[in-house]
Amino acid sequence: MELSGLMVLTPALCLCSMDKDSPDVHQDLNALKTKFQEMRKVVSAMPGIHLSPERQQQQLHRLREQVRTKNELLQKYKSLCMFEIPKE
Amino acid sequence: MLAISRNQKLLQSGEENQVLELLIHRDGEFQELMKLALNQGKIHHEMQVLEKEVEKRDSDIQQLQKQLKEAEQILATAVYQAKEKLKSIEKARKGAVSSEEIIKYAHRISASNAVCAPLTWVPGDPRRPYPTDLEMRSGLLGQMNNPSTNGVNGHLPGDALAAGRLPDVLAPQYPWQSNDMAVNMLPPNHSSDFVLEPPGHNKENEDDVEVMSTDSSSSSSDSD
Repeated sequence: MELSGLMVLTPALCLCSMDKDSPDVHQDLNALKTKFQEMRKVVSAMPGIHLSPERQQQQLHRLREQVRTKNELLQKYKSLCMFEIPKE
Repeated sequence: MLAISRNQKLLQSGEENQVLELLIHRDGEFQELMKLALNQGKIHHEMQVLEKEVEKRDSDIQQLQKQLKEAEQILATAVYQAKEKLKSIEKARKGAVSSEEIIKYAHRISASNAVCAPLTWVPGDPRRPYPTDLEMRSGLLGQMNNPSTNGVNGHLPGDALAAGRLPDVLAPQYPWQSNDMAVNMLPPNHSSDFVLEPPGHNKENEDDVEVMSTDSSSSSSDSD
């Protein structure tokens, strides 16, 4: 995962934190910012996260119930023979 | 001075440790959230599949609804027609007529040659499927309206009939009128009571009759 880069950067940051004015720190900080921005883009494009997990479960349950009910309705009317067809 | 700098370094290392711990903690939270997001992504994919199935079922239900509607219309028409037929059957049962009466009426209608020309009919024959002027005048109404034409010596055609003679009105007046035709003009019970002399043929009169019968201005002639 891209977020694991955070763990890689963290020790580098710690090492450079000894000298805050060194150019390496600035480079690492910029790289970190870029990674954060990319991470935000990726996360916003992820499907299914616009709903909370509870709402998502409710919607999933509702959809399953709809499919089951409609299947039962279709099965009922297709298998129902109201007229007896006389054998000629 | 050295002590102050050592304290400052100790404080800095403490802060850095806190920052590191916070970072590690945040990273852990991010990992958890990422797992949750992936799980939600799978659920979202399953929901999309279910939505497609729901759409397909909806179209199947709409198709079934159309077919049921058509069947309902057909059945409604059939039931209406059956009810109308039952009504007409009931009406026919209430006004039932015996077959013998119907056959009698059929005989009467066909006896006047109203439905089919007689076998001996030819163009020029004055007989018509409806009563002609001659026949109407020789009937009861005609005799009532024209008392001057009542038989010979004041006798009514009925007297002539009773005497066994043809009334003058029915006597053959035209060359093409034969005895059979004159007899046919009478009621059926009198047709066999008379023996008539055949009238003389006049060719001029025949031509006149042919012209008359084919004349389009004639009211009674009707080309068949």
